[in-house]
Amino acid sequence: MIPLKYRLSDFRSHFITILYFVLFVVWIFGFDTLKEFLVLWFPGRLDLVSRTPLPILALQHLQLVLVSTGVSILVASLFGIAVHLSRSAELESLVLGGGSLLETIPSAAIIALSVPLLGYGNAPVLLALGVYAILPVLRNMIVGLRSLPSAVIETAKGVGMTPFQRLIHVELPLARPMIMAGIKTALVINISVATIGATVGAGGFGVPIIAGIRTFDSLRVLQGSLAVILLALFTEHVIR
Amino acid sequence: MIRIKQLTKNYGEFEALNGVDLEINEGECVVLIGPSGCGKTTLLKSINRMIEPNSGEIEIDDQNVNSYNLEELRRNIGYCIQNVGLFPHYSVRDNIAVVPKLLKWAKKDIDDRVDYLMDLTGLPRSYRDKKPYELSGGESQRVGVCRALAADPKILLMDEPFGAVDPMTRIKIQLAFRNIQKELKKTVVFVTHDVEEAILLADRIAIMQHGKILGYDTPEAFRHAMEEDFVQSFLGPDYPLKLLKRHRLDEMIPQEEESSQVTLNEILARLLQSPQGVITIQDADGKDKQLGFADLSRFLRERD
Repeated sequence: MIPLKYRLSDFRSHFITILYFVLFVVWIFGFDTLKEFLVLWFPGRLDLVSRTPLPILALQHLQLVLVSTGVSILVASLFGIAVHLSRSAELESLVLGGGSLLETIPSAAIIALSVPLLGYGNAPVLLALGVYAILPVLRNMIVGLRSLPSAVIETAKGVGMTPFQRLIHVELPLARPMIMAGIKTALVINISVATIGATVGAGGFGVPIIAGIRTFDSLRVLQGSLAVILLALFTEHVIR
Repeated sequence: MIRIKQLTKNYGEFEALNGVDLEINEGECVVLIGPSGCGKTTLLKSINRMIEPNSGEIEIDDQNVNSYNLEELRRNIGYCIQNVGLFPHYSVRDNIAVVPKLLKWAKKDIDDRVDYLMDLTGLPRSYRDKKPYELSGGESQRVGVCRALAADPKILLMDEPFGAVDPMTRIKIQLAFRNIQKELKKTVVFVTHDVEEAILLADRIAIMQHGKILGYDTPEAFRHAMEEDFVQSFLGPDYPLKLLKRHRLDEMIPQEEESSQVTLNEILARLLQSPQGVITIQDADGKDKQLGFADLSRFLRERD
């Protein structure tokens, strides 16, 4: 029997998650209706209809974020598990140092520098987002796997689990909350960073934001940024 | 049978084990006792190779432990540690079933074994699906004992397994474990710093200090070494009194079922309270028997 308080807090957090999702969907599909009212506070041009409808921009944005973060999760997991299984402190600090170094390069710089090589469009944005997602996932994975209760790890050894069995049956399941937190951080960062992709011709919610800034149209800036905010909030709550 | 020869282990300058020799007979419970840092845990963990010694040999059934596959060796040795180390994401049933699962037992056999062990250690079967955080300290340690016994290993290694519970619960688990040990006749190596626990559970006690074994004998035999300093300081000058706790009244005078758990130190307490130094005990047939200090002393002498 689950105590009542767990069910109440479960309900509350589900409610908030669903609320953000509904607000996001309403914003995406109902913007053309909503803008009639919003224009009272946010000056902009009602007659200007964007070339790409907002639902399509949403799909482009999600595609950029999911593809880049997905690849990063894979790469970071491979490195994280390799570092963990090697039990080498030097390798750990080397890999974490490398990850931190990547994180210090501004994403705008990665995009600008890779355009000559990769051309305009999605490719430079995917690269920048991918680079950005590696560190949070990698760091949480390594730290999560390292800081498990020593009695549990000793027992896992003592009952005769191989290092691989320990990883699959004990270490990864117990480090899961920490690993998921890293993935969540990476996703939320990338949902917002992906907006600058519009400057090099990638789609996504950056398109109305950049266009709005160029034309002093705050309504269009709002159109893109509120979508990003709601999507980030939804992601923050849906992953546990 | 476990044979340990000239085992040494250094941690930098510190000598944890300094040439230990020990033979542990099949089916006996050997308790390693000594102050912290005496090497008792290091010795225990060398047996299932959780710690690799610097030199010396350990043989199980005349075969060097290094010649076994590491995981296989550990799966065939029950292992139980102070903090229990239950897997928090597993149910009680899955925690107990860890080693049988690694050994790929059939599901039915595992379920039967789990039921048997839970009955044996006095855990209600309704606890099968509970998670470790729902258990009290004593219950967790019972689960820990079940897990160590799960694949029916011949050898059990127990590192202060009952250390972290309150005294009332501890004595209950100790007695339960003693009964289990009497029934299953495992070869047990048990580490503790609690003399009373050692006396209660041990077939033999090994007293350790500075990485060496100072004495290795039955609890009764140590009574005759009382003049030796290390016995005095580790087992205490009141050692014979503690020894009385190991024995029950019905070993002297047959008792009815309900009073069979009375230990001899309780009888001694009653003797001390009686004005004449003599008390009357009823045996199982309802006959009165006189009992005095001399009877207790004779009883201990007969156990030597």
